[in-house]
Amino acid sequence: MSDKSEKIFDGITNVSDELIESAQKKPKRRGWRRLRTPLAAILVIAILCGIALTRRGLNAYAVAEAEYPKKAAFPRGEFYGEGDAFLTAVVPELLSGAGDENRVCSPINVYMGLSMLAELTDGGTRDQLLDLLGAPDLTAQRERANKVWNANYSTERGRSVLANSIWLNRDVSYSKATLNILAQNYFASSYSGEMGSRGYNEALRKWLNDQTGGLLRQQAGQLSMDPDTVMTLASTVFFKGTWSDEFKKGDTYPETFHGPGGDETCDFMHMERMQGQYYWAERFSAVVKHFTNGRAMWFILPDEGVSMEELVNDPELVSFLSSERYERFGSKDMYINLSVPKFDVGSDLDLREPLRALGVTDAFELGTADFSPLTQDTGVYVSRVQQAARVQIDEEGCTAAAYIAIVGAGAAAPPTEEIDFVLDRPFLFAITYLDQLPLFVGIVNDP
Amino acid sequence: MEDHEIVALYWERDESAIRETDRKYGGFCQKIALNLLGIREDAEECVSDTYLAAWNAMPVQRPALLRSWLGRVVRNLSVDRWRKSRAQKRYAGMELLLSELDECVPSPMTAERAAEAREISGVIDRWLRTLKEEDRDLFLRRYWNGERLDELARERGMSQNTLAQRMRRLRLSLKDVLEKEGIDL
Repeated sequence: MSDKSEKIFDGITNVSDELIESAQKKPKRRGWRRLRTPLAAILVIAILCGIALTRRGLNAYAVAEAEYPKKAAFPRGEFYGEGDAFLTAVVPELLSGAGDENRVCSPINVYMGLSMLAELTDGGTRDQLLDLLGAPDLTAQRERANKVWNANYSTERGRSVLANSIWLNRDVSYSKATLNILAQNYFASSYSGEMGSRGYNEALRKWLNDQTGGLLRQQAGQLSMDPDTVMTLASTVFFKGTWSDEFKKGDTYPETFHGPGGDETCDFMHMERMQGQYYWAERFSAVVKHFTNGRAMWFILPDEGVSMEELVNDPELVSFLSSERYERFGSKDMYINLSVPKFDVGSDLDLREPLRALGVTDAFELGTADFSPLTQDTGVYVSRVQQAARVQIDEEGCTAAAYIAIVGAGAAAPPTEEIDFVLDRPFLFAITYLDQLPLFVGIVNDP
Repeated sequence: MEDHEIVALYWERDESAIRETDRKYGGFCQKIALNLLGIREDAEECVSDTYLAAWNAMPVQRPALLRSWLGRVVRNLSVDRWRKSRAQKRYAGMELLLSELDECVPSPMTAERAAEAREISGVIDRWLRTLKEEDRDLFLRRYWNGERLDELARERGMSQNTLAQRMRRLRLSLKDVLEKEGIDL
């Protein structure tokens, strides 16, 4: 060994980036390639067929269809934490009262739906919506919603898309300028058709199924617009991601989940000595598992003796789900032995009462609701606000979808370097991206 | 998250840049430092220092390829650490890599002119481009990433002995090129 070999070592350090990048690719094994090719071909064909059929079905009603960018520019400037006030208000309201059932909701989906609703309203109706959204005025809210859309749009390494649409009654005249605002800032497509007709209802369901990967087919099948409907606002979020460190299928085996309705046996996935951060608060602890596309899923376990209802109403929980997470809570880098049940949970929520409880009342009252930016027709009000959401996880990753349809008419620090994090009793999860509003939060009572 | 998005976070002085860097390239950096130093605690400190270096460098820098940029920083920091501490500690990875690279050192009798590290890089860069892709990648994975021979052999489905001979041929080829270019070490 000599100084001369060190000079060569330094020389190697500075070779071109492109050579270094190229060397990082793991060599492909021939056997794998042979197996994968036919499968890839089948998947591509299936996707192309789906798109062709959908276009034919929806085009008949399209006023303006949103064109998604190939790649959304990541928003510049500070916008983290702007949704915190909204999150603090809605999470307890949406997650309370689940009882023994599973509960899933999408804060970001409600946020986008209400932002669009604020665009369509004026006066006190709009003010109540902006208050809940935590925005000083409509222009500021529009900018935020646009940033949220762009930050969340990704079709690389999985899929994450917030899709919006507005379904109009062909017998009512609408403000084109307002529809243009929705198209430009919310990438919302507009459709016009005969309310109550089978074709128009099927087009709405087809759009929802299309945007949510068919994950909410059952719930979408029950959605219909009756002849009195003036307008339906549909907002969806679909997320599909692969764990950056997948669970091994061989490490999945049946174990007991102690649910509120009694013990049940289900498949638990296991990961030994996963390196990561362990977080703790007064009443819960949490670990995070990342997806390859930058998103992450948090597993939040209430301490023994803390009920799920207490947890969802604990101000520390929303604080943990907000942008304050990294600043306010204790964490420690540890080896985590994670045991989590494979789950497929969903729920169908009527949001009218939770929104009323949060101060949004005028939009639901005939005679008080002000929809003047959308139409000069009086007598328009919100008759239904529904959110359906579903989240599945397995060894490879997660698929999750939600739609919202608005129809007008502390514990102590962990003592060791290694911890068993066993989710064998009711727990909470959240899917997040950076420090923005969570895409999904949910309660698993019955995996 | 895409590299340009992470770089944008650094430029905005957003501390989540470091979290996102760690999420995407933490394992990669950790592995390089561990390969070179062989001591986990020291490797982890090098990776932390790499993030600090990234925070201090951006802005003004805007790396197009964040992985190789970070890899180079962690490699340099690991070498610095090795140089400072070699009297007290034995870093197995560096010792072994340097002893292998000794074979590339040309005879001083045939070298005709002085060469700076940048010139050596240029020669090595050109030499690498003459190699078959597989050989080039093997050389860089061994001497840039510092990956272990037995791991590389397993990944390529070849015996460690065969791979060791192949690496030796590559080192002798580099020696030949350095001599022909008149690199005086």
